[in-house]
Amino acid sequence: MSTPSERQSAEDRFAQVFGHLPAVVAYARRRGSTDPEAVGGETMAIAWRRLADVPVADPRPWLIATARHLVWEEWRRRSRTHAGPEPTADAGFRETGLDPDLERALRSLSYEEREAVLLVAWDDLTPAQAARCLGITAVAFRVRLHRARRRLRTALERTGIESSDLEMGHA
Amino acid sequence: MNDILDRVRAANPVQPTSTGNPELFDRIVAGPGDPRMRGAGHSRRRWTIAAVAVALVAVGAGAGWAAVKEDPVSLFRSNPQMDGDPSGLWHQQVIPSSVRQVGSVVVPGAGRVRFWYGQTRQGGWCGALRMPDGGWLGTPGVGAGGIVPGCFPTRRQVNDQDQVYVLNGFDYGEDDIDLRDSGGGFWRITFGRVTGLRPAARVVDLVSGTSVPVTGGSLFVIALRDADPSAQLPVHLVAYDSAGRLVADDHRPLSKLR
Repeated sequence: MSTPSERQSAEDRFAQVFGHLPAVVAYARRRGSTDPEAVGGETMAIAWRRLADVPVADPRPWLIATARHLVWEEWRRRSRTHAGPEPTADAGFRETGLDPDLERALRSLSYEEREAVLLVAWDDLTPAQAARCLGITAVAFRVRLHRARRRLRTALERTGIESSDLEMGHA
Repeated sequence: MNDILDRVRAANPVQPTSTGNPELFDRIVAGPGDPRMRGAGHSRRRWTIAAVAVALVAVGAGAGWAAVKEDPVSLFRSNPQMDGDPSGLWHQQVIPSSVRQVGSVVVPGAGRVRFWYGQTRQGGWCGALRMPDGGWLGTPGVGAGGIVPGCFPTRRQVNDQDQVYVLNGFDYGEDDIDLRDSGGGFWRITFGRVTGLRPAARVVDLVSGTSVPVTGGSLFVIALRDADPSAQLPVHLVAYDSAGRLVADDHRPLSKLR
Protein backbone atom coordinates (compact mmCIF):
# COMPACT_ATOMS: atom_id res chain seq x y z
CA MET A 1 0.00 0.00 0.00
CA SER A 2 1.19 3.49 -0.64
CA THR A 3 0.60 6.71 1.13
CA PRO A 4 -1.54 9.48 -0.36
CA SER A 5 1.56 11.60 -0.84
CA GLU A 6 3.31 8.81 -2.77
CA ARG A 7 0.31 8.42 -4.98
CA GLN A 8 0.16 12.14 -5.56
CA SER A 9 3.82 12.07 -6.53
CA ALA A 10 3.16 9.38 -9.15
CA GLU A 11 0.21 11.32 -10.52
CA ASP A 12 2.25 14.50 -10.70
CA ARG A 13 4.92 12.66 -12.62
CA PHE A 14 2.32 11.20 -14.96
CA ALA A 15 0.74 14.62 -15.47
CA GLN A 16 3.96 15.80 -17.10
CA VAL A 17 3.81 12.84 -19.47
CA PHE A 18 0.11 13.25 -20.11
CA GLY A 19 0.68 16.80 -21.36
CA HIS A 20 2.02 15.27 -24.56
CA LEU A 21 -1.31 13.61 -25.40
CA PRO A 22 -2.11 16.05 -28.26
CA ALA A 23 1.22 15.29 -29.94
CA VAL A 24 0.55 11.55 -29.67
CA VAL A 25 -2.97 11.84 -31.08
CA ALA A 26 -1.65 14.01 -33.91
CA TYR A 27 1.01 11.39 -34.63
CA ALA A 28 -1.61 8.62 -34.83
CA ARG A 29 -3.83 10.75 -37.06
CA ARG A 30 -0.95 11.54 -39.44
CA ARG A 31 -0.09 7.86 -39.70
CA GLY A 32 -3.60 6.93 -40.74
CA SER A 33 -5.03 5.47 -37.55
CA THR A 34 -8.78 4.96 -37.78
CA ASP A 35 -9.10 5.95 -34.12
CA PRO A 36 -6.26 8.27 -33.16
CA GLU A 37 -7.96 9.27 -29.91
CA ALA A 38 -7.99 5.62 -28.79
CA VAL A 39 -4.34 5.24 -29.74
CA GLY A 40 -3.52 8.34 -27.72
CA GLY A 41 -5.51 7.04 -24.77
CA GLU A 42 -3.95 3.62 -24.87
CA THR A 43 -0.48 5.10 -25.22
CA MET A 44 -1.07 7.11 -22.08
CA ALA A 45 -2.52 4.09 -20.28
CA ILE A 46 0.64 2.13 -21.11
CA ALA A 47 2.74 5.06 -19.92
CA TRP A 48 0.90 4.99 -16.60
CA ARG A 49 1.41 1.25 -16.21
CA ARG A 50 5.10 1.62 -17.06
CA LEU A 51 5.72 5.00 -15.57
CA ALA A 52 9.14 4.05 -14.27
CA ASP A 53 10.26 3.44 -17.86
CA VAL A 54 9.10 6.81 -19.18
CA PRO A 55 11.78 9.48 -19.18
CA VAL A 56 9.80 12.35 -17.74
CA ALA A 57 12.30 14.97 -18.84
CA ASP A 58 11.76 14.05 -22.49
CA PRO A 59 8.90 11.57 -22.83
CA ARG A 60 7.90 12.23 -26.44
CA PRO A 61 10.23 9.67 -28.11
CA TRP A 62 8.99 6.99 -25.71
CA LEU A 63 5.35 7.94 -26.25
CA ILE A 64 5.60 8.10 -30.02
CA ALA A 65 7.45 4.79 -30.13
CA THR A 66 4.57 3.25 -28.19
CA ALA A 67 1.95 4.89 -30.40
CA ARG A 68 3.87 3.72 -33.44
CA HIS A 69 3.47 0.11 -32.34
CA LEU A 70 -0.21 0.58 -31.68
CA VAL A 71 -0.84 2.15 -35.08
CA TRP A 72 1.18 -0.56 -36.73
CA GLU A 73 -0.75 -3.31 -34.97
CA GLU A 74 -4.02 -1.61 -35.86
CA TRP A 75 -2.97 -1.65 -39.50
CA ARG A 76 -2.01 -5.31 -39.30
CA ARG A 77 -5.29 -6.20 -37.66
CA ARG A 78 -7.19 -4.30 -40.34
CA SER A 79 -5.25 -6.08 -43.04
CA ARG A 80 -6.06 -9.46 -41.55
CA THR A 81 -9.74 -8.55 -41.24
CA HIS A 82 -9.89 -7.63 -44.90
CA ALA A 83 -7.73 -10.57 -45.97
CA GLY A 84 -5.26 -8.08 -47.29
CA PRO A 85 -1.55 -8.46 -47.79
CA GLU A 86 1.10 -8.24 -45.12
CA PRO A 87 2.07 -4.69 -44.22
CA THR A 88 3.93 -2.92 -46.97
CA ALA A 89 5.77 0.34 -47.27
CA ASP A 90 2.38 2.03 -47.68
CA ALA A 91 1.31 1.08 -44.19
CA GLY A 92 0.78 3.76 -41.60
CA PHE A 93 0.81 6.81 -43.78
CA ARG A 94 -1.88 9.42 -44.12
CA GLU A 95 -1.72 11.56 -47.21
CA THR A 96 -4.61 13.93 -46.56
CA GLY A 97 -4.23 17.13 -48.47
CA LEU A 98 -0.71 16.49 -49.67
CA ASP A 99 0.65 17.75 -52.95
CA PRO A 100 0.24 14.67 -55.19
CA ASP A 101 3.87 14.84 -56.28
CA LEU A 102 5.08 15.02 -52.72
CA GLU A 103 2.77 12.17 -51.75
CA ARG A 104 4.14 10.00 -54.55
CA ALA A 105 7.67 10.88 -53.54
CA LEU A 106 7.00 9.99 -49.90
CA ARG A 107 5.36 6.73 -50.93
CA SER A 108 8.41 5.83 -52.98
CA LEU A 109 10.43 5.64 -49.75
CA SER A 110 10.59 2.51 -47.67
CA TYR A 111 8.51 2.53 -44.51
CA GLU A 112 11.61 3.02 -42.37
CA GLU A 113 12.95 5.85 -44.49
CA ARG A 114 9.63 7.65 -44.64
CA GLU A 115 9.20 7.28 -40.90
CA ALA A 116 12.62 8.87 -40.40
CA VAL A 117 11.61 11.86 -42.52
CA LEU A 118 8.18 12.26 -40.96
CA LEU A 119 9.36 11.95 -37.37
CA VAL A 120 11.59 14.94 -37.97
CA ALA A 121 9.43 16.96 -40.35
CA TRP A 122 5.93 16.33 -39.02
CA ASP A 123 6.40 15.16 -35.47
CA ASP A 124 9.08 17.70 -34.78
CA LEU A 125 11.53 15.32 -33.15
CA THR A 126 15.21 16.04 -33.21
CA PRO A 127 17.34 13.36 -34.89
CA ALA A 128 18.47 12.19 -31.46
CA GLN A 129 14.88 11.92 -30.25
CA ALA A 130 13.81 10.15 -33.43
CA ALA A 131 16.66 7.67 -33.00
CA ARG A 132 15.46 6.89 -29.47
CA CYS A 133 11.92 6.53 -30.78
CA LEU A 134 13.03 4.00 -33.37
CA GLY A 135 15.36 2.20 -30.99
CA ILE A 136 18.44 2.76 -33.12
CA THR A 137 21.59 4.71 -32.58
CA ALA A 138 21.85 8.36 -33.52
CA VAL A 139 24.44 7.46 -36.14
CA ALA A 140 22.19 4.85 -37.70
CA PHE A 141 19.34 7.33 -37.76
CA ARG A 142 21.48 9.97 -39.40
CA VAL A 143 22.41 7.52 -42.14
CA ARG A 144 18.78 6.53 -42.63
CA LEU A 145 17.64 10.14 -42.79
CA HIS A 146 20.42 11.05 -45.16
CA ARG A 147 19.40 8.28 -47.54
CA ALA A 148 15.74 9.15 -47.24
CA ARG A 149 16.34 12.80 -48.09
CA ARG A 150 18.48 11.85 -51.03
CA ARG A 151 15.83 9.48 -52.35
CA LEU A 152 13.08 11.98 -51.71
CA ARG A 153 14.90 14.63 -53.65
CA THR A 154 15.49 12.24 -56.52
CA ALA A 155 11.84 11.21 -56.54
CA LEU A 156 10.70 14.81 -56.61
CA GLU A 157 13.07 15.62 -59.42
CA ARG A 158 11.59 12.77 -61.39
CA THR A 159 8.12 14.22 -60.97
CA GLY A 160 9.31 17.44 -62.56
CA ILE A 161 9.11 19.59 -59.50
CA GLU A 162 11.60 22.37 -59.61
CA SER A 163 14.06 21.27 -57.00
CA SER A 164 17.31 22.79 -57.99
CA ASP A 165 17.22 24.77 -54.78
CA LEU A 166 16.76 21.71 -52.62
CA GLU A 167 20.07 21.22 -50.97
CA MET A 168 20.71 18.31 -48.65
CA GLY A 169 21.90 19.58 -45.33
CA HIS A 170 23.13 17.60 -42.39
CA ALA A 171 20.71 15.60 -40.27
CA MET B 1 12.79 26.78 -48.79
CA ASN B 2 16.27 25.45 -49.13
CA ASP B 3 15.86 22.03 -47.62
CA ILE B 4 13.71 19.15 -48.67
CA LEU B 5 12.59 18.61 -45.09
CA ASP B 6 11.11 22.10 -45.12
CA ARG B 7 8.92 21.11 -48.02
CA VAL B 8 7.69 18.10 -46.08
CA ARG B 9 7.19 20.20 -42.95
CA ALA B 10 5.07 22.66 -44.87
CA ALA B 11 2.82 19.80 -45.96
CA ASN B 12 2.14 18.57 -42.42
CA PRO B 13 -1.54 17.55 -42.59
CA VAL B 14 -2.27 17.60 -38.84
CA GLN B 15 -1.33 20.09 -36.17
CA PRO B 16 -1.68 19.02 -32.53
CA THR B 17 -4.57 20.57 -30.69
CA SER B 18 -3.84 22.10 -27.34
CA THR B 19 -6.92 20.80 -25.60
CA GLY B 20 -6.38 18.68 -22.54
CA ASN B 21 -8.48 15.72 -21.50
CA PRO B 22 -8.90 15.67 -17.72
CA GLU B 23 -11.51 12.93 -17.85
CA LEU B 24 -9.12 10.61 -19.64
CA PHE B 25 -6.41 11.47 -17.14
CA ASP B 26 -8.70 10.55 -14.25
CA ARG B 27 -9.72 7.29 -15.89
CA ILE B 28 -6.13 6.27 -16.47
CA VAL B 29 -4.78 7.04 -13.01
CA ALA B 30 -7.76 5.22 -11.53
CA GLY B 31 -6.29 2.04 -12.96
CA PRO B 32 -3.38 0.02 -11.59
CA GLY B 33 -0.14 1.83 -12.18
CA ASP B 34 3.48 0.80 -12.38
CA PRO B 35 4.24 -1.34 -9.32
CA ARG B 36 7.79 -0.01 -9.41
CA MET B 37 6.42 3.43 -8.63
CA ARG B 38 5.30 3.42 -5.04
CA GLY B 39 1.92 5.05 -4.93
CA ALA B 40 0.82 4.02 -8.38
CA GLY B 41 -0.71 0.71 -7.48
CA HIS B 42 -4.19 1.64 -6.33
CA SER B 43 -7.39 1.52 -8.25
CA ARG B 44 -9.64 4.41 -7.44
CA ARG B 45 -12.29 3.33 -9.85
CA ARG B 46 -12.63 1.03 -12.76
CA TRP B 47 -12.32 2.33 -16.26
CA THR B 48 -12.53 0.92 -19.67
CA ILE B 49 -11.06 2.16 -22.88
CA ALA B 50 -12.18 1.53 -26.40
CA ALA B 51 -12.27 -2.10 -27.40
CA VAL B 52 -9.83 -1.44 -30.16
CA ALA B 53 -7.24 -0.38 -27.64
CA VAL B 54 -7.73 -3.51 -25.56
CA ALA B 55 -7.25 -5.60 -28.65
CA LEU B 56 -4.08 -3.74 -29.43
CA VAL B 57 -2.60 -4.65 -26.08
CA ALA B 58 -3.45 -8.29 -26.65
CA VAL B 59 -1.25 -8.38 -29.70
CA GLY B 60 1.71 -6.65 -28.11
CA ALA B 61 5.35 -6.80 -29.04
CA GLY B 62 6.54 -10.08 -30.42
CA ALA B 63 3.25 -11.18 -31.90
CA GLY B 64 4.43 -10.45 -35.39
CA TRP B 65 7.60 -12.48 -35.52
CA ALA B 66 6.22 -14.60 -38.30
CA ALA B 67 5.44 -11.65 -40.55
CA VAL B 68 8.12 -12.58 -43.08
CA LYS B 69 9.49 -16.11 -43.33
CA GLU B 70 11.46 -16.04 -46.54
CA ASP B 71 14.53 -18.16 -46.82
CA PRO B 72 17.70 -16.13 -46.26
CA VAL B 73 18.83 -16.09 -49.89
CA SER B 74 15.43 -14.79 -51.00
CA LEU B 75 15.45 -12.25 -48.22
CA PHE B 76 18.84 -10.91 -49.24
CA ARG B 77 17.95 -11.04 -52.94
CA SER B 78 14.86 -8.94 -52.37
CA ASN B 79 17.06 -6.75 -50.18
CA PRO B 80 14.73 -4.36 -48.36
CA GLN B 81 17.69 -2.03 -47.97
CA MET B 82 17.95 -1.44 -51.71
CA ASP B 83 17.03 2.08 -52.66
CA GLY B 84 16.11 1.59 -56.30
CA ASP B 85 19.12 3.34 -57.74
CA PRO B 86 21.04 0.67 -59.71
CA SER B 87 24.17 2.79 -59.68
CA GLY B 88 23.84 3.71 -56.03
CA LEU B 89 25.82 2.55 -53.08
CA TRP B 90 22.85 0.75 -51.54
CA HIS B 91 22.24 -1.37 -54.61
CA GLN B 92 24.08 -4.32 -53.11
CA GLN B 93 23.48 -7.71 -54.70
CA VAL B 94 23.96 -10.81 -52.63
CA ILE B 95 26.22 -13.63 -53.78
CA PRO B 96 23.89 -16.58 -53.06
CA SER B 97 26.68 -19.09 -52.47
CA SER B 98 28.08 -16.91 -49.69
CA VAL B 99 24.91 -16.98 -47.59
CA ARG B 100 25.21 -18.97 -44.38
CA GLN B 101 24.36 -18.98 -40.72
CA VAL B 102 27.40 -17.68 -38.88
CA GLY B 103 26.33 -17.40 -35.28
CA SER B 104 23.53 -17.37 -32.79
CA VAL B 105 22.59 -16.11 -29.36
CA VAL B 106 20.01 -17.31 -26.88
CA VAL B 107 17.63 -14.59 -25.72
CA PRO B 108 15.85 -15.65 -22.53
CA GLY B 109 12.15 -15.90 -23.23
CA ALA B 110 12.57 -15.82 -26.99
CA GLY B 111 14.93 -18.69 -27.74
CA ARG B 112 17.86 -18.94 -30.09
CA VAL B 113 18.26 -16.06 -32.53
CA ARG B 114 20.41 -16.86 -35.55
CA PHE B 115 22.64 -14.49 -37.48
CA TRP B 116 22.61 -15.06 -41.24
CA TYR B 117 25.29 -13.47 -43.35
CA GLY B 118 26.21 -13.06 -46.98
CA GLN B 119 28.62 -11.13 -49.17
CA THR B 120 27.66 -8.87 -52.05
CA ARG B 121 29.05 -8.41 -55.53
CA GLN B 122 29.68 -4.77 -54.72
CA GLY B 123 31.91 -5.54 -51.73
CA GLY B 124 29.29 -5.01 -49.07
CA TRP B 125 27.63 -7.52 -46.81
CA CYS B 126 24.20 -8.85 -45.94
CA GLY B 127 22.91 -9.53 -42.45
CA ALA B 128 19.70 -10.59 -40.79
CA LEU B 129 18.54 -12.08 -37.50
CA ARG B 130 16.10 -14.95 -37.57
CA MET B 131 13.73 -15.76 -34.74
CA PRO B 132 13.09 -19.38 -33.70
CA ASP B 133 9.79 -19.39 -35.61
CA GLY B 134 11.50 -18.36 -38.84
CA GLY B 135 10.54 -14.67 -38.83
CA TRP B 136 13.15 -12.02 -39.50
CA LEU B 137 13.78 -9.25 -37.01
CA GLY B 138 13.28 -5.80 -38.46
CA THR B 139 10.67 -6.88 -40.98
CA PRO B 140 7.24 -5.23 -40.68
CA GLY B 141 5.62 -5.79 -37.34
CA VAL B 142 8.55 -7.68 -35.84
CA GLY B 143 10.23 -6.50 -32.68
CA ALA B 144 10.38 -3.02 -31.26
CA GLY B 145 12.82 -1.48 -33.65
CA GLY B 146 16.14 -1.86 -35.29
CA ILE B 147 17.70 -2.20 -38.64
CA VAL B 148 15.83 -3.70 -41.57
CA PRO B 149 17.53 -6.88 -42.75
CA GLY B 150 19.22 -6.78 -46.08
CA CYS B 151 22.51 -5.95 -47.74
CA PHE B 152 24.58 -2.96 -46.84
CA PRO B 153 27.62 -1.13 -48.11
CA THR B 154 30.55 -1.25 -45.74
CA ARG B 155 31.14 1.71 -43.51
CA ARG B 156 34.23 2.49 -45.52
CA GLN B 157 32.17 2.57 -48.71
CA VAL B 158 29.67 4.91 -47.07
CA ASN B 159 32.46 7.17 -45.91
CA ASP B 160 33.85 7.34 -49.41
CA GLN B 161 30.65 9.18 -50.36
CA ASP B 162 29.84 10.98 -47.16
CA GLN B 163 31.82 11.04 -43.92
CA VAL B 164 29.35 9.38 -41.58
CA TYR B 165 31.26 6.86 -39.54
CA VAL B 166 34.34 6.79 -37.40
CA LEU B 167 36.09 3.71 -38.74
CA ASN B 168 36.81 1.78 -35.58
CA GLY B 169 37.08 -1.79 -36.80
CA PHE B 170 33.40 -2.61 -36.31
CA ASP B 171 30.67 -2.69 -38.93
CA TYR B 172 27.34 -3.79 -37.54
CA GLY B 173 23.61 -3.42 -37.33
CA GLU B 174 21.30 -3.55 -34.34
CA ASP B 175 17.89 -5.03 -33.66
CA ASP B 176 15.93 -5.38 -30.50
CA ILE B 177 13.52 -7.81 -28.90
CA ASP B 178 11.03 -6.50 -26.40
CA LEU B 179 9.70 -9.19 -24.07
CA ARG B 180 8.58 -6.93 -21.27
CA ASP B 181 4.90 -7.59 -21.91
CA SER B 182 5.52 -11.25 -21.13
CA GLY B 183 7.64 -10.58 -18.07
CA GLY B 184 10.96 -10.71 -19.88
CA GLY B 185 13.51 -8.07 -20.74
CA PHE B 186 14.35 -5.69 -23.52
CA TRP B 187 17.28 -7.04 -25.53
CA ARG B 188 19.51 -5.23 -27.97
CA ILE B 189 21.20 -7.51 -30.46
CA THR B 190 24.21 -6.34 -32.38
CA PHE B 191 25.41 -8.33 -35.37
CA GLY B 192 28.03 -7.73 -37.98
CA ARG B 193 31.69 -7.78 -38.77
CA VAL B 194 34.96 -6.99 -37.09
CA THR B 195 37.27 -5.32 -39.57
CA GLY B 196 40.14 -4.70 -37.19
CA LEU B 197 43.88 -4.93 -37.36
CA ARG B 198 43.91 -8.75 -37.43
CA PRO B 199 41.37 -11.57 -37.53
CA ALA B 200 39.34 -11.53 -34.35
CA ALA B 201 38.49 -14.42 -32.03
CA ARG B 202 36.20 -12.79 -29.48
CA VAL B 203 34.04 -9.71 -29.10
CA VAL B 204 33.48 -8.39 -25.60
CA ASP B 205 31.21 -5.69 -24.24
CA LEU B 206 33.36 -4.10 -21.55
CA VAL B 207 30.34 -2.57 -19.81
CA SER B 208 28.35 -5.76 -19.21
CA GLY B 209 31.24 -8.20 -19.51
CA THR B 210 29.39 -10.19 -22.16
CA SER B 211 31.75 -12.12 -24.41
CA VAL B 212 30.93 -13.94 -27.64
CA PRO B 213 33.02 -15.90 -30.13
CA VAL B 214 33.81 -14.57 -33.58
CA THR B 215 33.20 -16.77 -36.63
CA GLY B 216 35.69 -16.86 -39.46
CA GLY B 217 37.80 -14.11 -37.94
CA SER B 218 35.21 -11.40 -38.38
CA LEU B 219 31.54 -12.26 -37.79
CA PHE B 220 29.77 -11.89 -34.48
CA VAL B 221 26.40 -11.51 -32.81
CA ILE B 222 25.92 -10.34 -29.24
CA ALA B 223 22.77 -9.81 -27.15
CA LEU B 224 22.72 -7.24 -24.38
CA ARG B 225 19.88 -6.71 -21.96
CA ASP B 226 18.77 -3.10 -21.74
CA ALA B 227 17.23 -2.23 -18.38
CA ASP B 228 16.15 1.20 -19.60
CA PRO B 229 15.29 1.18 -23.31
CA SER B 230 14.31 4.83 -23.22
CA ALA B 231 17.91 5.85 -22.56
CA GLN B 232 21.09 5.15 -24.44
CA LEU B 233 22.44 1.76 -23.38
CA PRO B 234 26.09 2.11 -22.44
CA VAL B 235 28.02 -0.29 -24.65
CA HIS B 236 31.74 -0.60 -25.27
CA LEU B 237 32.60 -3.30 -27.78
CA VAL B 238 36.15 -4.47 -28.24
CA ALA B 239 37.54 -7.37 -30.24
CA TYR B 240 40.53 -9.56 -29.40
CA ASP B 241 42.47 -11.98 -31.53
CA SER B 242 43.26 -15.55 -30.47
CA ALA B 243 46.34 -14.34 -28.59
CA GLY B 244 44.29 -11.87 -26.58
CA ARG B 245 45.55 -8.79 -28.39
CA LEU B 246 43.17 -5.91 -29.02
CA VAL B 247 42.22 -5.69 -32.69
CA ALA B 248 39.28 -3.25 -32.61
CA ASP B 249 37.64 -0.88 -30.15
CA ASP B 250 34.39 0.84 -31.02
CA HIS B 251 35.35 3.82 -28.86
CA ARG B 252 38.55 4.48 -30.75
CA PRO B 253 39.38 4.99 -34.41
CA LEU B 254 41.26 2.09 -35.87
CA SER B 255 44.10 4.43 -36.77
CA LYS B 256 44.71 4.98 -33.04
CA LEU B 257 45.20 1.28 -32.41
CA ARG B 258 48.01 0.79 -34.86
